[in-house]
Amino acid sequence: MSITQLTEGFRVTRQAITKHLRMMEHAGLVRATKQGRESLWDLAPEGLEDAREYLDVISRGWDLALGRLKDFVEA
Amino acid sequence: MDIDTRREGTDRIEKKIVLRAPRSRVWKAISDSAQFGHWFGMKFDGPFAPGSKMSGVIVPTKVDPEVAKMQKDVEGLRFDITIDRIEPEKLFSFRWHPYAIEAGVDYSSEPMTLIVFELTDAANGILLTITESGFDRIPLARRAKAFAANEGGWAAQVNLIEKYLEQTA
Repeated sequence: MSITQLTEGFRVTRQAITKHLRMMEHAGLVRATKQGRESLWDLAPEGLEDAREYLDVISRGWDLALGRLKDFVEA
Repeated sequence: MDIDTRREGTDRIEKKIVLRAPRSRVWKAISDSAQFGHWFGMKFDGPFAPGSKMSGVIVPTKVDPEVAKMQKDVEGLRFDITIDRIEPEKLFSFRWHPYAIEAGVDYSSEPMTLIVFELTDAANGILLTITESGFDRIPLARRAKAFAANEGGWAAQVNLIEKYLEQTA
């Protein structure tokens, strides 16, 4: 999708959308391809999968840590 | 154990748990660096103070030889953390590099995530809400690499930490 399409329906500026897209691009969640003067944006599904799995691991880590905290304060 | 988990996309994770303990007890367990280190499995180089940059290491522990052997990889690993806010008996927050457990990697130039502990009253204790956010600013290569290193390498690391935590219980 182009920036113009992405901006439609949002009450945010084109600049704000672009900034977020660049951040997501940096994170590997979306990718841009140049078409003429415009960038077209796509989701990067493999990046999303990695990011989700990573969060699963983090989530599990917190569950374990919270179990330890609970035992500690309730003892 | 009831832990309520919420996730927002790939950037933020939230956990809620009721702790059946007085507020002062919960607060101390979180805001006192020695107590925090005790349940988390780290030793810090000083007390927590707003804005302070400090470090912690994974502490050696008495475990069975098999696990001890596996633990060699993470024992003594250093973590940098920056304390953010301390609002007595209410809120404690800090920043760190999430799961920075790959030996020999310098994480210092990478963005940190923000971890917030919030205490509110619950019917039978204290409702603790923990959020960790800012994962989308962590380079995806770092996040993906965590799984790519050897088949099941990351899972083994997590397993190791789990065993580690169980052993120090």
